[in-house]
Amino acid sequence: MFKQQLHQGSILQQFPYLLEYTLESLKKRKFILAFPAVLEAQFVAKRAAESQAFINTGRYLLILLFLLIVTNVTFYYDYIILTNNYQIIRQTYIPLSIAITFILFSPFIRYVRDYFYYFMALCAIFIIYHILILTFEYNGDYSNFVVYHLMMAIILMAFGLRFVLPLFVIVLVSAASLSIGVAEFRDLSINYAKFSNYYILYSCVVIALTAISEWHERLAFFTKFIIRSSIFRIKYIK
Amino acid sequence: MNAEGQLRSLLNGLSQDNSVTTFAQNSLYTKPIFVHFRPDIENAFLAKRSLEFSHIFRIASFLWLTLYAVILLSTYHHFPYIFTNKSYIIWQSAFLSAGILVLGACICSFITSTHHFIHQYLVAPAMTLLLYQLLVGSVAHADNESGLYASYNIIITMIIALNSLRLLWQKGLLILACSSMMAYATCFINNWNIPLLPALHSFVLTGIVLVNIAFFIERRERFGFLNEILVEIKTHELARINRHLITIAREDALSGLANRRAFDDTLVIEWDRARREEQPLSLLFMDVDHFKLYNDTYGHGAGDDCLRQVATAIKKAVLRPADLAARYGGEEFVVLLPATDGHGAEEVAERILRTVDSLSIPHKRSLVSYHVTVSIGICSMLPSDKNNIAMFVENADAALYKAKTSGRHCLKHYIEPPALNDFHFKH
Repeated sequence: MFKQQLHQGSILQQFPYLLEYTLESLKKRKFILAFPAVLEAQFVAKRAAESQAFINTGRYLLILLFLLIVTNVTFYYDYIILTNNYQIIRQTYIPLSIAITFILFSPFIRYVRDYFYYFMALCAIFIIYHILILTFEYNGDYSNFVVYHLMMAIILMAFGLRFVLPLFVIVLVSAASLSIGVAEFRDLSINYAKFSNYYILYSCVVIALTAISEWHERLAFFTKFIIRSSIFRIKYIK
Repeated sequence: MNAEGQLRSLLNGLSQDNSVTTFAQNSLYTKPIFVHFRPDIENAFLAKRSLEFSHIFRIASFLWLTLYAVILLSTYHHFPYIFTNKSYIIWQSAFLSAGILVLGACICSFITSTHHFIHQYLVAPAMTLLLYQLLVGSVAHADNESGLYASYNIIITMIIALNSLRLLWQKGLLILACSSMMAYATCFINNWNIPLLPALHSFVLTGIVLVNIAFFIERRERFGFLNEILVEIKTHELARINRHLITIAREDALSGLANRRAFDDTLVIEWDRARREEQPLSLLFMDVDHFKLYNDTYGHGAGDDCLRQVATAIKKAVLRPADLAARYGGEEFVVLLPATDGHGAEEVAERILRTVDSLSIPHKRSLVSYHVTVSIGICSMLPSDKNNIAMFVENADAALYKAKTSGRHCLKHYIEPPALNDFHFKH
């Protein structure tokens, strides 16, 4: 789930059984494509690289999106912003903006690049937790307004950060458990009817879509693996 | 032809075209933001997407059915008045049309022949209609919780439309644009106020994010597809190289006949087969008469040319596809005749003698004729426990020796077949 490792040289020379496994899986189009550890690490590394590319391409668009949301909050819900000497800014928006800035600019840091999903999983849990707490803490329009952003954040995490499915499920479950735990501890009332719709049902839909998308990607990954081995063999023969 | 076969033939066609390799490699190298395919590649890509839709359609349609049931039950639980109050006609019609769509999808998912048509022509209008109804429902009842609930469903519907139905991102954008314009027109006609902030966040911003995601996913898939085409091309190249290697490994470069390795391999196979099926097996062992003298007189170039002509003559005289003519080494040739007894082998040997004679390649220093001739030794056996391959070859060689000592330009059996005299070719 976390381990990312790009092999130097021909992986086939090191693990000759992989080609047979790949061909077999492609032929059968298995519903659950469990990779051997060495391929899984490569797959995770590829997804991390793609996620970083996605962040690099959409960085300023995402900043714009965040600023637009903050501007809307400032204009339409100024009474919430001003409460308790900007408490919401201090407790939620500043930590959120730091987490988002970290996600958007972390691909520049090599250490983060190398252990991408360790950092991103924590950031994702942190962001979802904060947004969920907002939905529990406030009622009415503002709460509904925050729910849209929660949904947007989840879909961006699924398709932008590109967590592998088990990790994505862990992130969603952890964030929900943490938020509910904290909410219970702080005696915040949770509207479970709403929560089951905007979080549980919605997460299930996104998880299903992520699963389908990941399955296709795993097949494509196999194809790329075969092409590499074919090129290697052709070069060897020539 | 089914969709899978159609895609395979399209990919095969692309893999034969050299310009496709250049295009694919260039695109994969430059990685442009907008990946535009040539029409032939685009067609194959669309066929692939349609096929993928077909693969996921059955399971997805039942997931949609579950989702629909959950939403329906949850709505009934929280807002029962929606199903009884006539003022919620938009909601009711949305549920009805969504139900029809989901049920229709479940039924059609079992009819594979409809999948392509559904993906091509029905999915986009159906999603537009559903989204339109949800948008109108969320605006019409924006003053209460059910409006908010509708906006959650709008987001879920948008995600399904843009990210799971294997539609091109432009088509997804068109669905959002059409449904929003239709909803706007309906609101305008009915004088309904559109709540700006929820509309902006639940529909516009989420729509922008989803279209972007769909775009990036499609871009990645397009690169993946180019890789897939390259796999096809490389597989063909590998197959071609393999065929060439097999030819090189099994063919004698000078004569064009099978080489010693191919002969040895085939001999083992045929020996085993003959033993299994209790069939006779014959071997002709032949040698060009006084070839050393020919080489000394006419030179090695002419010698090679002579061997080539003799090989062609042997090939011509061996008629059955199962028979194998090979160069054994130097000026020695062999012909392996499966399911052939001594009489049959003799017929073939006679034909070879005649064909080589008919070439009339001059050989002034030959001691048996004025032209190039061959001597042939024949061995026929019924493979069993009492004999083996080495014995078979040795006997054929011994028969050749017998032919040579009998004055050459003739054929000799190792053991004479019954009721047939030695065939001695008359000059």
